Amino acid sequence: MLLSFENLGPWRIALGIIAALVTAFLVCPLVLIVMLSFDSSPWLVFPPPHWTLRWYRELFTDPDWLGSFMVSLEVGLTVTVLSVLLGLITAIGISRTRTAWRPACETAFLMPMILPVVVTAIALYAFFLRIHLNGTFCGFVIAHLILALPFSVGAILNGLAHIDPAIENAAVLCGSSRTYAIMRITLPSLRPALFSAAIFSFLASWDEVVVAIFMASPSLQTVPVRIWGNLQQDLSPVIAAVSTVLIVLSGLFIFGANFMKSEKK
Amino acid sequence: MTAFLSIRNLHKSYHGNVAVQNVSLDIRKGEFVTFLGPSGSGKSTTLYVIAGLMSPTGGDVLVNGRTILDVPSNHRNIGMVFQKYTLFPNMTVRENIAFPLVVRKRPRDEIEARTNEMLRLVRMEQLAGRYPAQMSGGQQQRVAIARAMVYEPEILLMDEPLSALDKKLREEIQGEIKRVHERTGVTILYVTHDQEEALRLSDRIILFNTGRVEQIGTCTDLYTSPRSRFAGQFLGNSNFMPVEIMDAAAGTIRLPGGACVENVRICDSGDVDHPLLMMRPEDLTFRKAGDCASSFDGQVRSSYFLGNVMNYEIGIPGDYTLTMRVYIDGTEHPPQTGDRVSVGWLPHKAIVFR
Ligand SMILES: Nc1ncnc2c1ncn2[C@@H]1O[C@H](COP(=O)(O)OP(=O)(O)OP(=O)(O)O)[C@@H](O)[C@H]1O
Ligand SMILES: [Mg+2]
Repeated sequence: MLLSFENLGPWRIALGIIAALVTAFLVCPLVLIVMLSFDSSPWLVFPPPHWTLRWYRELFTDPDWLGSFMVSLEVGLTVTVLSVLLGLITAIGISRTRTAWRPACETAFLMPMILPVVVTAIALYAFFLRIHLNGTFCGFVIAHLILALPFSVGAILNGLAHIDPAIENAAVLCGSSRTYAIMRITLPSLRPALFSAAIFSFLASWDEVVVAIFMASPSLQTVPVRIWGNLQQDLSPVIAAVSTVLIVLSGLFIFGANFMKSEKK
Repeated sequence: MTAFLSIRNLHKSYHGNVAVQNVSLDIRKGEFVTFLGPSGSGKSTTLYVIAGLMSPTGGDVLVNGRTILDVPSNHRNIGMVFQKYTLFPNMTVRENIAFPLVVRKRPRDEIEARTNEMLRLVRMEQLAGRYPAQMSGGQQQRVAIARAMVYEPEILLMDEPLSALDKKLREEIQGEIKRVHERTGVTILYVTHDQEEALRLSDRIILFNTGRVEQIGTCTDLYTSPRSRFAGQFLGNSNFMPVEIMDAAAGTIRLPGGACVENVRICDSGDVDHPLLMMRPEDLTFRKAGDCASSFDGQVRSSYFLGNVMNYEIGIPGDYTLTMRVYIDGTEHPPQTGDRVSVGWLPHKAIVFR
């Protein structure tokens, strides 16, 4: 390759420095928040005068925070399952449409990704008010599902594009019904795409705050919503502890996902 | 005799673009028929309609006199091998071959026995446990043939199954296909645009051109009696030369040089603007100068050796070039590049298209 790292000569050093700076820029805030979570001062003093685990103790004994984690998890997992199922049906439908409608369908399903989230949020809020879904689990899931579906449809469409339809046709000519051919032949080949769809869908719900603020009720608050609420009242180091927990969880999640992906190959 | 598989006035267009028009064929049981033709001539489309993967815009497909157009693909009992590799990537060779029997819910010992039989037929017993990604293209296509044959379909469709393979492997699997055909007596419809493959395998060739059937016949029919310039040009090499027809009934023509020749076959081809004489390279021979009317005087432009035959390019007056292929028996001295020669031809073997 012309532009491989080895061929860059003296530029290599410059490139290394730039890479280091960018990484530092990305990592610094995270390091800061992790350090603050162990800070003994309740006023977020930096550098921390003493180290303590007090905020973590507070966090893990607070039923409100634990409840929020549960809500986030329940909403996230429900959204994931529904998003992958609906995404699969949708993507298969779109990819097999031969008409001129295909691009229109595709755009329609990817729309929530392009639209400003706040617009989606307000529209959903206004609509849910009418049909009394505001503040319900069901409403929450539907709202996040709308945000998650484009990622799922996109990932599965991409996966389908890499599968030769002739393989499924071969199965049908072998005597299998179309449905059985999809279940037995196409779906197994689609596993990596379904996996990506699941991860993206979960993350779309897990760290979403704008729509969640509109959908939340006092008893139904996801973690990002509670962080937002607490920030407005008082700035306690518990927030730093929550953030650290989220950073660790997300990190584990992505590592796990990448690990499983490379296992599959 | 009624045909086993009949195609009647088949027509297929994609959004107004005609891919197949007015194709009619009758195929006997157990026949090996090849669809030959240039790219985009409608061979695959015809095959897909028979398989039920596409529905025609007109016409009918009959098996034993009954239409199969209303039968879904998976109930047509047709086997198909595709140009692309279509083994199921998540199954081993054995599972791939057993799949058609599994979906038919056959008893387990029958599946076992049939699968073993097919593995033996395509000589893949050693690799039965492999996954498609662990095999060469030729091995995959052999498994695909076994999978398409395991449920004993009456018709086997093959759409350029060997076009992705190199020449040596292609010939090996051609032999394999021929053997499978002889052993099982299945009716095979085979698509290729490789004329050598068509000649080697088939009982009959169906020559396609721009969505129509140009000519149907045995390999020798097509080679010795092409019915159009297209057919003459597509199968084998040919020399073409514009001529004038003096007397169509007697087969008298006038060559560009002015000489008249009798007894030439005249054929209404419909794909030429001007009468055109066709001569096969192997029908040309060297003569002594001025021997007879049906000869051309010229000069050897180039020659190359092909085992026991020589290939010559002869320049003749009027700026035409004749290609000829001559058997060399070693007794006489063959002409060299630059030599002046006289080339004779046999009027009854030549054809004039008009
Ligand atoms: N899905 C499609 N949509 C539109 N046109 C098509 C489609 N499939 C084939 N065609 C057109 O129909 C014509 C016949 O195609 P077909 O695939 O039958 O040709 P073929 O003889 O099999 O050619 P090849 O030797 O290249 O495989 C071509 O002109 C092709 O462009
Ligand atoms: Mg084709």
